[in-house]
Amino acid sequence: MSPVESLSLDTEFNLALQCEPREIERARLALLNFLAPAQLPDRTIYRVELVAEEILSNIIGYAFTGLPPATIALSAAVVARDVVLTFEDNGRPFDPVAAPEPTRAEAHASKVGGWGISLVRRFADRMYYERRDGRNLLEIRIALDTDATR
Amino acid sequence: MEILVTDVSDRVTKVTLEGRLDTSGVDRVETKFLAACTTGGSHALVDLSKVTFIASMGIRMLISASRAMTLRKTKLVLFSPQPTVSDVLNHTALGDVIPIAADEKSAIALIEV
Repeated sequence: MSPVESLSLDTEFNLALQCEPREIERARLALLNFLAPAQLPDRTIYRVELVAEEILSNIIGYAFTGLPPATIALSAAVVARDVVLTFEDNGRPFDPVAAPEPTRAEAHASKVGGWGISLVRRFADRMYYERRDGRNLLEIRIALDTDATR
Repeated sequence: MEILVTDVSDRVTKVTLEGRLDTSGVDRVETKFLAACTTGGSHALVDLSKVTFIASMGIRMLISASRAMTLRKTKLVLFSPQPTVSDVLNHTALGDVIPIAADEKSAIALIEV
């Protein structure tokens, strides 16, 4: 049995975050701590870190502009052969799955990380978005088995 | 995130970045990095060999420096990115706006073009 398979499927990680940029690093370190027993390949860890960084910086930077600060929920689990990251916030509606891919000129001209969602698409395998009860729910799956070919 | 600035010659500065170019890392080094690239009228070589991670905030920082240097008619060249960092640079087509060299010698050659 590989280290990944030895993780219990009901092992889950949950973290409440404040709407502050410094929370991204706290989330990253907590995620690494949670995933450490799985001994994932460096490439998978890179993909997890990149997805978490881009989605959280997007939520913190945009979701609550003009709105009262709120908490953001991040959860993670290893399900079958996927790392599953779930982001939940009650900020303004934003569906990154449907967001158009920026042109190179648009992204290069952006003052704040114009490539973020595009990078998530590149490094993740599947994304699901839903607006439910005034909350953005975003699930992102990173398949372990695609690492060898990506 | 660490930054080391050294003079290669009287017209070329080398900036070595070490660590993670994510939100936290960019926040720590951006002011010093932009100053290193734009002060003194020198061209800048940026050694990425010790950068272990880059996200869109890091891409934005590099593009900001490139724009500021273009206004000053100086050049910015990146060199020696690690494979995972290189993957991000390729996806974001950073090479369209900033030359990326395999090593320092090639980077110096691009400055001198």
